[in-house]
Amino acid sequence: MMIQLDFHSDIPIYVQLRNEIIRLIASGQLAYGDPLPTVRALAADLHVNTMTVSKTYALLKQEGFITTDRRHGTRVLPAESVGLENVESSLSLLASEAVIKGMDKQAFLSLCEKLLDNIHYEKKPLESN
Amino acid sequence: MNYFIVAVMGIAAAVVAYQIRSDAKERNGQFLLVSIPAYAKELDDYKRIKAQYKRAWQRQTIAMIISMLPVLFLDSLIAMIYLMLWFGAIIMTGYWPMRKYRKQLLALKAEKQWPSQETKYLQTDLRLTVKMQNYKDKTIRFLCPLCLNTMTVFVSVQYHHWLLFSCAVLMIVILLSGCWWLFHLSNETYSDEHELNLLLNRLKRNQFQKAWSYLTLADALFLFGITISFDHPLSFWLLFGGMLLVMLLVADGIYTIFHFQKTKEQMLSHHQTAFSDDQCWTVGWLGPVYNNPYDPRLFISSPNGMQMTLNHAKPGAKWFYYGIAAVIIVIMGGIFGYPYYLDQNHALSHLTIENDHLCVTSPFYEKTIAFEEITNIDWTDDLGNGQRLLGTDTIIYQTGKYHYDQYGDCELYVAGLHKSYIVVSANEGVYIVNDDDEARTKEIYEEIERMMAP
Repeated sequence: MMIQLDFHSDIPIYVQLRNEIIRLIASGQLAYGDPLPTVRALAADLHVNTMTVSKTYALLKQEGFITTDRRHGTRVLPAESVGLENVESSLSLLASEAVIKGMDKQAFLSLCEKLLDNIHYEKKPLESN
Repeated sequence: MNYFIVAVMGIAAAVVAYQIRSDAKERNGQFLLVSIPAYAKELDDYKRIKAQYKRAWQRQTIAMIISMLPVLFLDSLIAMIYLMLWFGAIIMTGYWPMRKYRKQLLALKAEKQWPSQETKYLQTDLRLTVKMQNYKDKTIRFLCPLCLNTMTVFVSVQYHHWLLFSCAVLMIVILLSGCWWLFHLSNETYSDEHELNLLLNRLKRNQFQKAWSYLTLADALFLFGITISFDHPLSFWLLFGGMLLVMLLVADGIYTIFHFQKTKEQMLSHHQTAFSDDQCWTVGWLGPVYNNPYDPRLFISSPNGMQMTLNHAKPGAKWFYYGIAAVIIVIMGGIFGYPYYLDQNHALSHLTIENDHLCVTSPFYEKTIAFEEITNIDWTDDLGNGQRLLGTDTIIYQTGKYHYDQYGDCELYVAGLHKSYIVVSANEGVYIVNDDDEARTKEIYEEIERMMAP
């Protein structure tokens, strides 16, 4: 369950971290209900400021990928149909970019299909604790 | 004296030679801090450079040993100067062979087009972070050094040993800072295997904490021993046993870290370590220098695995050096600057006569001698030859037990920059005191003499 950050990239660290966590959820490495580390512990291991991790968690929570409560801490708990409008707008932008750069409809759809095949996300019932 | 200097030089030479050898050693697919593919290790060119480097290191070690010998024929003072120059020379020239053969190896690598690894990502095992959150630190092992240092604080206050008091307080601060750092040690992702990462990180925490507890316990024991032996001299065997225990604890502390590094090396022998890019490392005058802007860590393990080094691409490295310089300035200021300031303002040592007692007061010492105990009193501006037995000598002030050819064993409470002393022979021993104003010392001496005259 590795996350990779590029400290020289133009993409802000908190966005890179958000993307990596979503990638881990989608690939099945972070399962439904799995705990995430505390802000302080993750910031220490990534050698970043606690505010950066805090910002990532807030963003993921706002987008409906994780949930935080006093008893269980932060967990992967994607809420269905939350933030779908965001997916649509992002996909629309990507499709536009692909068409402008010369990719035809069939190639774009087969690429999407191939990427979707790599996603192994599965919603499981939570253990009652 | 000269044999002692040679012994010191011998230890320094051994440490420097070992350090250079371990920095250059072939480990984790690297030699001379250059990553080498497995197939290249069988090539004749690579073997030639390796053999040449080994011979250069051997020649350098022999040169270090031979250059120690002139000390045996030199005068003590010149021998000390030679020692310092020799030490500077071996440090400055020590890494020269490593620099030379590393350059040759890099040229060979470029010529043969060996694949070069360039890591620009920080890889972190998220599950490791989750699991290590629940690691229970064994705080109990630090209780013993903390209690000993606290006892030293109380004993030094009771006997007014302010320098030892400062040392004990400083040791408590260092002990607690070290503990805080170790309890907040970040986890390292050594490989792609989660279980291996977890095992190594647990081992690292445990071993580092164990080593720190041993080293701080040894220091606390040493300090406590000095504090109690000031007023109640310890028997030879107790002192010998204490010193042996201190040395054993230090050795075990160092061995614990060494053992962890060895285990880590063995476990990771088949794994590619992160950030092994050749360009990250350079060999400077004082050893390997790490400079990688893609690596967010400030402290990283040095190539020999025993120490930590700084990532010079981080601004924190600069602040770390400023911090070290500031600490040195503060310590030197505390030892020399502050007493000198007091001395210049006549606040370092004050002699007074109160209720038939001669009192000497200072921020660093205090002594009262009753007139009825005094058997003889004398004034001098030259104490002659002498040496410190147990006490403090900062040139600016001297306090504690000393031995002078002229007076035998005596206790000193003097401002060292003012050559005017009162030598008091009393029933309990000889005391040498003075004021930071030479005229006042003479004045007090004459007054006592008048008061004691029949």
